[in-house]
Amino acid sequence: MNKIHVLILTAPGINCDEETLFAFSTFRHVSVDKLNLNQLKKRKSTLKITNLIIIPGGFSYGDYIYAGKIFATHLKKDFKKEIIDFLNHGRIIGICNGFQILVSSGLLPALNGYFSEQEVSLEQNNSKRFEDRWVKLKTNIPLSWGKHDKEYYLPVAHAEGKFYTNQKTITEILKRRLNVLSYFNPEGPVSYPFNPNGSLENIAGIIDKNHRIFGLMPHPERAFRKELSIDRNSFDGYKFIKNILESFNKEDM
Amino acid sequence: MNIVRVEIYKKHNKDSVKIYVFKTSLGFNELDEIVKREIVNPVSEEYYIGRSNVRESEKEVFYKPGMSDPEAEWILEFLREIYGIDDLRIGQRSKDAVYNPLVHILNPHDDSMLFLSSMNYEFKDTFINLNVGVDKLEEMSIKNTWHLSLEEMKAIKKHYKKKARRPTLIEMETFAQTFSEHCKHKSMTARIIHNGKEVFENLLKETIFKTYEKGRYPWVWLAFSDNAGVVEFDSSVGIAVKVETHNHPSALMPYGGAATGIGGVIRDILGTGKGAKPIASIDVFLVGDFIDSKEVIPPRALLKGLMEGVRDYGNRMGIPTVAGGVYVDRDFLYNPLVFAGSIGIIEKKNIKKHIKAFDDIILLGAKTGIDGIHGATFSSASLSHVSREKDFGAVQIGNPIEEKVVRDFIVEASERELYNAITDCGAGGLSSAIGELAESKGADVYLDRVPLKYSGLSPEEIWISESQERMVIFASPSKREEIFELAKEVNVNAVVIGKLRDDRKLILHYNNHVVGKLDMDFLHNGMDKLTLTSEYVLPEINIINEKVDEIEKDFFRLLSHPMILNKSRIVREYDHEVQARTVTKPLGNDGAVMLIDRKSNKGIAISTGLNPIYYKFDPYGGAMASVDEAYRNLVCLGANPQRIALLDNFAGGRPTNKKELGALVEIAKGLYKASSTLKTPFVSGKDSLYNVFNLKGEIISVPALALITGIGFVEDIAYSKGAKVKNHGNFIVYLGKTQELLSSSLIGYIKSSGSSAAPAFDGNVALSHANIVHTLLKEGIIHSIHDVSEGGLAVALVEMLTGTGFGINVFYDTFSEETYADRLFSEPLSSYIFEVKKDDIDVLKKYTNEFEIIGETTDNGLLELSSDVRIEIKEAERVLNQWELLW
Repeated sequence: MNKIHVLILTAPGINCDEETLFAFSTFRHVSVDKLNLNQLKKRKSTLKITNLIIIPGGFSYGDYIYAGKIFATHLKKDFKKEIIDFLNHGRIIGICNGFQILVSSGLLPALNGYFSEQEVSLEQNNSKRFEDRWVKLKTNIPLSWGKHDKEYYLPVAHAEGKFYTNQKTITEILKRRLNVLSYFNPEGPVSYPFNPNGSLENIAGIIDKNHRIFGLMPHPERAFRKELSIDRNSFDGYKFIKNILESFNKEDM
Repeated sequence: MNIVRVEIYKKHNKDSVKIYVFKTSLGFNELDEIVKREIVNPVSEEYYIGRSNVRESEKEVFYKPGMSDPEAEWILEFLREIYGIDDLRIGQRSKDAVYNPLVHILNPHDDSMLFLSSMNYEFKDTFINLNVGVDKLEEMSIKNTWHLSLEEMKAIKKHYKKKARRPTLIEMETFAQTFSEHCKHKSMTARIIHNGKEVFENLLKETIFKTYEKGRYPWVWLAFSDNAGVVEFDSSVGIAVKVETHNHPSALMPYGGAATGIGGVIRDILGTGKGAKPIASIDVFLVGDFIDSKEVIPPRALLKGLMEGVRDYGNRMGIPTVAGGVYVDRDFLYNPLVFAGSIGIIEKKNIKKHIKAFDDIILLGAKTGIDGIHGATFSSASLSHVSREKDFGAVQIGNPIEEKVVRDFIVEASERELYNAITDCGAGGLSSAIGELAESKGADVYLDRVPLKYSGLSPEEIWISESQERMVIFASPSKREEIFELAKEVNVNAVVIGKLRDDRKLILHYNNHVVGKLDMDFLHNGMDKLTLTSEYVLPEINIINEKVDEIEKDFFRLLSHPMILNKSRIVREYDHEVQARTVTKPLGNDGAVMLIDRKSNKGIAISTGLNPIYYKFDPYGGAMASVDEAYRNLVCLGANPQRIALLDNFAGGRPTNKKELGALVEIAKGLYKASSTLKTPFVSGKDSLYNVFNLKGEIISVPALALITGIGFVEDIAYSKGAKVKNHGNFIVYLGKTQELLSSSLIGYIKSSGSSAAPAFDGNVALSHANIVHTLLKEGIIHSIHDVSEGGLAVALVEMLTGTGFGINVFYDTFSEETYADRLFSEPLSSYIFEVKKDDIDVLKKYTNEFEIIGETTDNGLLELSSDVRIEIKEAERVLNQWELLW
């Protein structure tokens, strides 16, 4: 089995990098490297051997302007060509702030191509406040991203996670089944707090048109062992990551 | 240079407008292009270049020029890098924008007033003539906001007479900072004559410090000798803990005060030993009851601001806020108290700093401005309604991302052993940081090398500025290059601003002038010890005779009391799970349990103990009750009772007032009594005095109290079961005292309108109960556990049930009717309630026969307190979640 090379990409204010690194590096056949944008600038060739880039959660550059925006601009300005090349062989996951960054940079859902104008937005929660809570999720993830469980139980922790876009774009996303992760209530309507932020179509995560990029608001890295789960029972973050990594072994690397 | 305003609003909601005011030489079209591309969210936002009218009902709010605004600073840095933008201010326009006259400009009619006009500083000699009479000396100290006492002024005068020269202004400022109550704790370490007979040569040394004796607790690595206390986690890793207060700034600007409070204590952890890594935060707020007041910020708005300040700083830093509390009482209307704590991981090899002659002195982090000047001396002054508009310099806005990159630098640099010593810039700024850390060697400091936010600062201002997010390291010049390279990589400013000496002289330079020359010895040991007198007489407590006759009514009165209300909405606004360490979450539990090594099953437990009501009339008893609470919370969380360390944070009024000092002395004695019995050493502490408000001439002091923070070692996180009932058909067991007067309880306090004692502390009972509980947790027969505290048994039972769907049927038939209300609502110390399977009662009997089975868990969602008091938990939840009662 080939080694999967994971690159964790950070910048000032990214703050879930340590636990994300921990979660991924506990799997055999995975090597994890961590670089910030300044370091990557000097080591762009790293991308050639990387299979998976992860942009973790946090508040990159304070989320000033709006969530993920400054990181997105740096990405566009300094790495546009390299990222587009990278996506020919590699994939990207953005978790929480990482999702916001991917959306702001026009990498998700990229209906009009990578780095086009931003098409969707993660807006302030309907509750108008930051909330840390555990949510039930329904999955609709294509096999190219692994064989996944039908449901996951994971924590969200954000102030801007409300998936929002215009009618045309949401129709397109649904038509193409890019809405791969949805908030869910097994017993009734998906109202607050089941949908913790007011996301359109209960969207918690999407993939891009070409299925190379995955952005999600929940934090699998925080649900890595059952003692960390609020019910002390599930460890769905572990399962999620494991299933994702398995999809790489099936891929020609 | 043009000043251009851009207004941005949501496409579907124009009630809130964000305003960017740029200073730039770019033309309209160029700027328009930048705004469209880099500022506006094309999906959800629209913008307008220019100024639209402010509606009557709306407020437009900007930070004053000179006030740091982290958002504007980060955006500006980003835009400057790419485009030609020279300066930026950001404002908000909406109906409910928070306006604080101390820090904000309201509805600016001309946008040029948002920018600081350029200032110049011209060097001049600043010799101070101390050769004046006593009156003049005192006046001089007040006028310069040095807050030096007459004795201190006289000692300085004598010192300079011997030197045959006049002190310079910067030297006087250094004395003011170093001798300040905030930095020196001169009252609590003074010679105190208590009640005319008891003499303490050094109060803290003879009480708090005595609970820790060297060698007695080998698992205590550092106690009262560094920025934080450090206890052992395993043979190679220790846990650093520190708790601070940030009362005055928070009272004036709650958002900024609370944020910089948490920022400051995080830097204490970063600056412990050779650097610790912060992993958790604690926050405790004491605010007034909810009345409107013209003299102070109304408590509701205050509480909201405090919470948001902690949230925005802690969440952005990526440090989970996992423990704390909110207390509401009229005593804190004028003098709110804000405690902030930080916990970190430190490698054993890093616990000792090395101070080496001729090392570089390197300043890390934020630039220096005029913010926070005289914060250290200000914290020893009284507040008044005038402070709300005047004490501008004492309040700052935190920049969490700046502190995050400083953290990133320190974590990496300490790992690579790039420096020999580190400390934070807190109260007193560089003067305290370098003055204290370089005490044994002396130093040359070149103040003109300190990077400034804007021009025009005098060397004195640079030396004592308390600008946030700065740290100082001492490093060998051979590491300089590597340090700068790393700093650049992680976006941190690092500048060599001086060098250590070997003659214990502190020499301050500014543009080739020597502006100050101080002897470290005089600076740190030049003052005679204070002698103070104190007295304390326990007042008669008005024991209530009013019986609790309507259990249900009193029960709901308790649930809707702000002390009891469910605070989980606050907890959810704090990211309490970032770093993936939080095992037992602070949602209805007695604190939190955290993983240190994410792979292992070992953890630490964190809790606090405080009930301001108990302190009110009985500081000695209140202190013991606080220790008991912190201790039993940790035991509930699964901590080993033999491995518990404590922190004390005194808050009080004027040490010069006999009675106010007397209460503090009683607290110190109470803390000593309880913690020496429980064998829980104090490892760190701080005192915050002069919590005094001048209400038009009437002096209002905060009643003395001490917050106790506990840190425990959890051998296996499986021992931590949490407080929520796990199943129906189990027994509810009570291990506690059986009788207690209602006078020392929240219900008694409510009914007697403000009179209360503290419940009695019995050290042997506390120890024995803790050991039994710990053994049972290890045996695995306890499934949920909670302690009895505010509101007594009845409230504790409800707290075990909320959110579970289960109920409890209390075996009220077995209780005497006469004392039933006492049993439900009194608050005996050292008491535990836990859930045990019926079959396991025999195991329990192996260890003790003291327990009582007081009920049984059910699946009906009811708490049955008597044949006619059946409380629906759903209804209790509704009452507990009445957020409008908080804000």
